[in-house]
Amino acid sequence: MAGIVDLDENNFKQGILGLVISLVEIIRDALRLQAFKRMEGGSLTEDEIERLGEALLDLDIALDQIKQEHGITDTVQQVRDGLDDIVDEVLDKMLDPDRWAEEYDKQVTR
Amino acid sequence: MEAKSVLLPQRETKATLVDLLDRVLEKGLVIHADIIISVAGIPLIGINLRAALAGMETMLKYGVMRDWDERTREWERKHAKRREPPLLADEKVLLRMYGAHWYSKGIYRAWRPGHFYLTNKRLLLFRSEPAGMLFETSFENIEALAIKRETHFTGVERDMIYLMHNPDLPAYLYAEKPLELKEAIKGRMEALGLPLEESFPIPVLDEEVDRLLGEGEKITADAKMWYKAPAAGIIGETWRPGRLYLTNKRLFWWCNEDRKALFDLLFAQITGVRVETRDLGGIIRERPVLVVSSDNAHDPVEAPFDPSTTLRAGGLRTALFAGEEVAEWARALGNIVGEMETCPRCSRPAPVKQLLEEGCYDCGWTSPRLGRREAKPVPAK
Repeated sequence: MAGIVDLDENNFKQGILGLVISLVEIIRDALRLQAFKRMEGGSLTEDEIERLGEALLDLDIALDQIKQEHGITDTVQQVRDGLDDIVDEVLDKMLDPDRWAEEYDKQVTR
Repeated sequence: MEAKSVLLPQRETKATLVDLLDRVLEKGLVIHADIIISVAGIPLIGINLRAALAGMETMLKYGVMRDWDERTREWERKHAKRREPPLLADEKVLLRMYGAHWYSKGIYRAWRPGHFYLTNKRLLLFRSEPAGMLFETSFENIEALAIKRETHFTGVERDMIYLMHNPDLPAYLYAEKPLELKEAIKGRMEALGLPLEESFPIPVLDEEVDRLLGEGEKITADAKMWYKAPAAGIIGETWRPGRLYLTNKRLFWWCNEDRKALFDLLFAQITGVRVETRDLGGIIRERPVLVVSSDNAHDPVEAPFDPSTTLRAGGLRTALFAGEEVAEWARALGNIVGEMETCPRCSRPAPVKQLLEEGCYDCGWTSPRLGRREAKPVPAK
């Protein structure tokens, strides 16, 4: 598997911030999906739905600002794409038994 | 290798990490694990883990945490402080958008984000968490408002708002939709019969700078330049935008945001000027940078109007500037700082003072008189 991310070695601080923001974004996305489920589920009041929606929107704007301010928009995208590639690769292997068998054989003969 | 049958299901779309998390949270995850961490076969740490993880909807579906959910939301409904800014009687909100105010008092300098509320009486910038009024001004006090396109150091261009309002210093603001905010303010002020200047008071900017000039001193050149400001308090060295001014007596750099000069040298104090290509880090990479060196070994001087930055006595100090006409500035300054001479070894022109005190930056020649000082390493061309 190729390296996960292609971070700029010269800019350590940017790299760390990029990773942190990537993580925050992933959590935000997961939270957003859960928020929609709750909104549709019917257990929230109108006021709560509005508050939740506004808060998520504010979070989006704040993250965009942070990425813009520090010039890490591309880095964050790269990290997320890298992680997505890994997930895709692993799932691919798991869903396709032939390939799974191939991998297993490779491991055994090593 | 066998060719795959076309009837086998193929995966068309790629799975993402968020998709995976969503599926896991939708179904729920139960972890039932007993773990021992041992060294050399001796168990040292034991963990009994029983955990159930799921999206709240799923939890509620299984009847888990229902009470807690209710109580949490109940508490929030009862105790949450007002998230809206305190309004005056008869005050109504006309427009709300995300924005930020540049706050610079003393050594604390930062963008403070919140939401702009344009009401029928005032412009407010309010932050809800923690609640606080970040900026406030009423229409009667607003004199001028201009939008300027500025380039952030990352290369992104943004429209920034300059607001002149009595009796305070000009406010430097960022808004999500600056034009919309400006038009709304303009509209409201017109409705109130209040005048609003729109051309940006660059004259006012010069007014502030004018106050810095001495008797018989005149500005001969100025340009937008980024300056690598030295560390101040808890803030480390940073590249900051501003304006470099050349007068008939000195060179100083004016900080837009702090509204004061952070760099100031009389010509007599400058020992050398050159252009170097430097890596500015991040995505900007290499740029030509104007390097101004000064040596205060013999004349320790306070920057005239900024006593907090005393030029330290002793040693070579260098100031870095980045901008569009770096080469032209180097030539102009070089001519002023000293007469130009040619290097005995490579015959390239350089200011006399610099040649004698620092050596030639092109070939590394140093004057025999530099015996005591170490010759500076020549920057790679």
